[in-house]
Amino acid sequence: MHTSRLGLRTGAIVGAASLAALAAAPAFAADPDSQASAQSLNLTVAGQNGVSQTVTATNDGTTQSKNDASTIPTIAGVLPQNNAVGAGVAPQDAGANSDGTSWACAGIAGTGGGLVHTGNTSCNINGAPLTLALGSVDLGHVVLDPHGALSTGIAQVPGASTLLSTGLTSLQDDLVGQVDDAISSSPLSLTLGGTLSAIEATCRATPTSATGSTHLVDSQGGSANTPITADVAGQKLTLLDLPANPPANTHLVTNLSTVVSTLESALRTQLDNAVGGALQPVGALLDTLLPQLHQAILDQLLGQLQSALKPLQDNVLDVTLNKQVSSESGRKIDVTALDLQVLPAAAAFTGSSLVSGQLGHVTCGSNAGRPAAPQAQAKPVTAKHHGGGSANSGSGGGSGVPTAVDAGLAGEQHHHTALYAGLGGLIAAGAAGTAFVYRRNALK
Amino acid sequence: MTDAAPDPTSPEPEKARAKRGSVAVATVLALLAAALLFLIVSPGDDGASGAGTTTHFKPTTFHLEVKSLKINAPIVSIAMSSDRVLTPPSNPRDVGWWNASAKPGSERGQTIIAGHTVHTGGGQFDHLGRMRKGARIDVVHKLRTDHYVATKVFTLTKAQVSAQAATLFGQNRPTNRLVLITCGDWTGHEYLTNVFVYAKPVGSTSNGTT
Repeated sequence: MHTSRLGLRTGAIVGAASLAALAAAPAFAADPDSQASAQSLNLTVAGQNGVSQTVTATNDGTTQSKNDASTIPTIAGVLPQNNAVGAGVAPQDAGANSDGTSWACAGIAGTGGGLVHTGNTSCNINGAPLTLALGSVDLGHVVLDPHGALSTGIAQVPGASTLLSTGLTSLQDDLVGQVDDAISSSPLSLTLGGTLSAIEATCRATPTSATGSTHLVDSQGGSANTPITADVAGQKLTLLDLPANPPANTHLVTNLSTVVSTLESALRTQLDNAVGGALQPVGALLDTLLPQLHQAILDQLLGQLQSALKPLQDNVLDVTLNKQVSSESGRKIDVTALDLQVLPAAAAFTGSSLVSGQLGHVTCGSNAGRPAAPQAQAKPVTAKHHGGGSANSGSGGGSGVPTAVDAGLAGEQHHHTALYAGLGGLIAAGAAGTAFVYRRNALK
Repeated sequence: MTDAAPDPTSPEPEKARAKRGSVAVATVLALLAAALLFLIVSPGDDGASGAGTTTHFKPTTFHLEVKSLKINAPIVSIAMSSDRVLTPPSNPRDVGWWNASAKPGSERGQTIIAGHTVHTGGGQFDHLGRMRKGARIDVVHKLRTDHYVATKVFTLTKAQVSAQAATLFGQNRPTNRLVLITCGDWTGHEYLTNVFVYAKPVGSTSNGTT
């Protein structure tokens, strides 16, 4: 019996030691030979934060360690109830190889999009149509002051004050009512956005260098520019044209001066009618002064409107495409496909909802390990190429030409390593619990 | 002579239980070891350790444009492997110009450009087989754009490609020909064929920049 208990205790101690060693292993691990990380979404929309889990891959020279990347996050899962980014997925993946290379990709795509891997050397995001709203600006609180416009207008037209002395109060009431109607019947909000299939950042690193890029796939799955438009006063205005393959650190600013002028034009007609309607009852009193007073009041109202919309003429949204930061002598790179910053001017419009944060953020390197093989010696990547790798060397005629073209890629096939490992862990934990309970019962 | 009834307090069953307990602990350790082992040797994570040699691609300043197929792809330089396989750039949105073939706009030889087909979509040459004879193909450089017109669209098996390699890829042509290549006939496991497009040059225009 003593022997049995000793055996059990020894087993338990060994088990506990194994678990402790397993848990502590990362802390004692040496710096990785290669590394990469990927995060598809880190956004704030209307005060709501949406952050996708970061996939991190490291390799100690023999073995890759990577957190679970078998599930592609959905945008709805990361940013529930958001109206900014349409239904879709937020793919992300990273890999670190024993030869000192690493790779990563991250971004968003419409529902049906996913990942395409090229062996263990890179990944890309497979596009599907997706709407992207960069934000909406609510101008509903823009309030004009008809009283002030009327009094200033009357003061600018000599004689008008005398003529209107008896009907001034009702004129004020009429003008307030008419202007309120004009404002409420005009569209005083605008939405910035566009449609595309995918936005992705990718990077790759070797022991000596790291490179990255950003790609935008248009709504047709091609490489056309993606227009970002504003819907204002019934018109669709193109504010930005996002290039499919933006150079590094392409800085774009949403200049809304066109939006402001369009909005002013739309409201000018409404306000003109409002002033005319308000002055109609006193037209007989004013006689020849009517047109002058009409114009003076209208000018005052438009001046107020321009002042109210002035923040819009400043930049409300600062967009950087393909934001790249290279460090460690070019051996590490940090790439963000789309970096959005809301500028203070946007805060002038309460109730507005502008997107800020990052879409598609990847890092690769810095990597140690042996240098990558020179290109002349390189073998083709075949891990997920299908059907082209079996070149023969004899029948092609002439040894200087290819005999096969390996130009097909398979779509995503998830690796379930981490899932299986987790399952194994669960089974192990269950077995340990059973053994513990069994031992307690046995000793009672 | 009768067998005595088993005494639950006797040492024999307790020993058996203890033994079973030890087995359970051993099972736990074995499962942990198995999980660890699976992590270490699992294919896919780093299955090509040592074998997964990275191929490098050099960017060029050329772009390939085929408006009818909505292709607009950066062209990068690719090399033939030692076992004579031409592999397009790993990024399926790029296409690769074989660096031993004629440069775009050359007077002679063949300009060989290969691009990926991805069966789930996303490859620049996904729809290459749909190109019509007469379709316009442009190779855009910062100084000029070379214009081509598709003259032939055809499919070959891998064996046919190998057998006709000298014709398909050889550079002994008195006039330039553009050759676009990708894979076709995805079976669910592999691509059985290559799709080829031949195109002839029809002139070039200056892009007016320096």
